[in-house]
Amino acid sequence: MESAIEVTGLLREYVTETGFLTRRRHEVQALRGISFDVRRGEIFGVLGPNGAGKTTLIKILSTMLSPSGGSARVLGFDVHSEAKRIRPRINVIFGGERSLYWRLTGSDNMRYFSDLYRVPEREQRHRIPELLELVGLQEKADVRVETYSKGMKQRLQIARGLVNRPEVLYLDEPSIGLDPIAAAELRRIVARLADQGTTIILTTHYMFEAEQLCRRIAVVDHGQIQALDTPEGLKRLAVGQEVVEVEVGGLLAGDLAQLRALPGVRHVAETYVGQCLLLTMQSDDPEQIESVLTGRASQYGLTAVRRRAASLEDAYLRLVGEAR
Amino acid sequence: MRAALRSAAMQLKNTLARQVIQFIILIQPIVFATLSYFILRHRPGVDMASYIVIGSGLISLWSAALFSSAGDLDRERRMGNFEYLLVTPTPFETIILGKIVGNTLLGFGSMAMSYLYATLVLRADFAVRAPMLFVLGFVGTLVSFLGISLVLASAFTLSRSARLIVNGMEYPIYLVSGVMFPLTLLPQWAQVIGHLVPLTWARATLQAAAAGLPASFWPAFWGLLGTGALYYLVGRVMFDGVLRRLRVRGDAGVY
Ligand SMILES: Nc1ncnc2c1ncn2[C@@H]1O[C@H](COP(=O)(O)OP(=O)(O)OP(=O)(O)O)[C@@H](O)[C@H]1O
Ligand SMILES: [Mg+2]
Repeated sequence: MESAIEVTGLLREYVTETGFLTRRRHEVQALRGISFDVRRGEIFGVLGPNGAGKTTLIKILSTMLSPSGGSARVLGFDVHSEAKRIRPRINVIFGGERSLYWRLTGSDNMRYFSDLYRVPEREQRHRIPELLELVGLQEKADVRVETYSKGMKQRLQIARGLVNRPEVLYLDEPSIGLDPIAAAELRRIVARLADQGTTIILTTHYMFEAEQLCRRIAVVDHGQIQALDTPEGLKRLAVGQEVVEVEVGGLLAGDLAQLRALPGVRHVAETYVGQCLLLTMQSDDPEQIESVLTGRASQYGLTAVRRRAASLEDAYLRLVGEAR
Repeated sequence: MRAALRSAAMQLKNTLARQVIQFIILIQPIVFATLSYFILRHRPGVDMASYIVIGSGLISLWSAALFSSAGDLDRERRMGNFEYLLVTPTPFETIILGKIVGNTLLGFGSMAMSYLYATLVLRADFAVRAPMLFVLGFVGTLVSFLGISLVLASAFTLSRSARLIVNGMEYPIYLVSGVMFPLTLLPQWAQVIGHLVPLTWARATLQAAAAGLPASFWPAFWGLLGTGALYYLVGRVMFDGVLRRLRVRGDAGVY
């Protein structure tokens, strides 16, 4: 199938200047040579830590920003020189409550953007109520946006991003601020759009969301793609099938070092769950590590040792953790 | 086209919802009319009524058209709408023109206010001797203000400090354009600068129409359209460059 999006060696730097009398230039390399293709109707995920360059990538692909190098084509057109050809056929949804007219009602906002996207009046008449219903805002349609809750504003953004029935839709952390039910609803909407042929690029910090929706995921860090594969592929690549999870009340630094040094252990991620420390250990032979640790449970004061299937989060922590 | 109209309508709706704007529309004309009144009260040979009504009316219209357009761009930036507006299929200039038209219509309200205040409260004896010319001059004024608004809007789009500079120029412009008192009170160089400002020509055009002097109306009218068209062209060219730079620099989202 043909590609909807082709990105080749994409570069982007930001140059900022500070100071008034003695101007100082700062350069930030936000993207350092990114390449990938997205097929039509695919949901493509972009994961990465804060500052990795995800939003920058979305802005370039949505023609808000020009690349500083490399090329990006959307629906066959160059994002820099042929932006006008692309714009009517794409849309973008950023997470958060900004970028709406708060003093106007929800339907006013929708009408305005429909006009800007040149949606004929006749179509607006049924599409706007449909979209508002899709995001569960039908009852708030004629109320000023400033009285909406955060999640409602976020939902309005989603509806707004669909006014032109985009062929390519960019979602930059779209589920921020949504309650779990609304987030699940959003996932359903996104999946259905893709079924209908919409090409989607999604950035998110929620692994679960990415795993559930995306056919392929790029893990980006420091402006580069660290890995690009299916969720399953990433897990295999980064951590193998299973990880060992260890719960412990607390751990001396020396003991932690000993655990890390066990033969076959490749990576140990530490997270705190309440008062408890949770170690996620990736290894060549999880079964053996599990039995070793169970044997030494009392020595280290481990309260639980178990094996579980590796998750995308494990893979992510490994990929991003290693690059740091 | 519909996008521009909607943009204008939105602008009206969104702006009227702000109390500070309601205040400006109502109060500013009164302040300026009163000022002119005290400046001109004891000057012989000056048609005070014409200065008060046309002058303060034009000031209201001008500041509504220009300065609120500039402020709106700032607000769009802060609200995070700016980047979205840049990437809709509707050219950004069209959206901006819509906004300017919306603001200009607000300026109308202001102008009407200053007329009422001047005639009813200050008892200015204001009459229009050539009504057709007055209407023509008025339409010319609106068109011409669009031109310079576009230039300012593109400057504001590019640079956030442009706003400070232009705000600082607001009062000097009132002085050199002769809307507060006759130009002949100013030194020669200031009068020359004044002729670069559409406001000056608008004032001369409307005053000539009010006084019923076609001979001085037409040159002023063409001056008005000429400066307006010039600024419009400059504005269009600037906008193209500004939008390109914005995408390269990437600061459409910062404020
Ligand atoms: N307008 C700007 N001017 C200067 N630097 C910028 C600008 N926008 C982003 N950057 C820098 O570019 C880099 C990438 O930022 P970007 O917003 O793309 O990250 P991100 O992956 O979206 O992060 P997050 O998960 O926090 O949203 C960061 O180092 C950031 O500081
Ligand atoms: Mg981001």
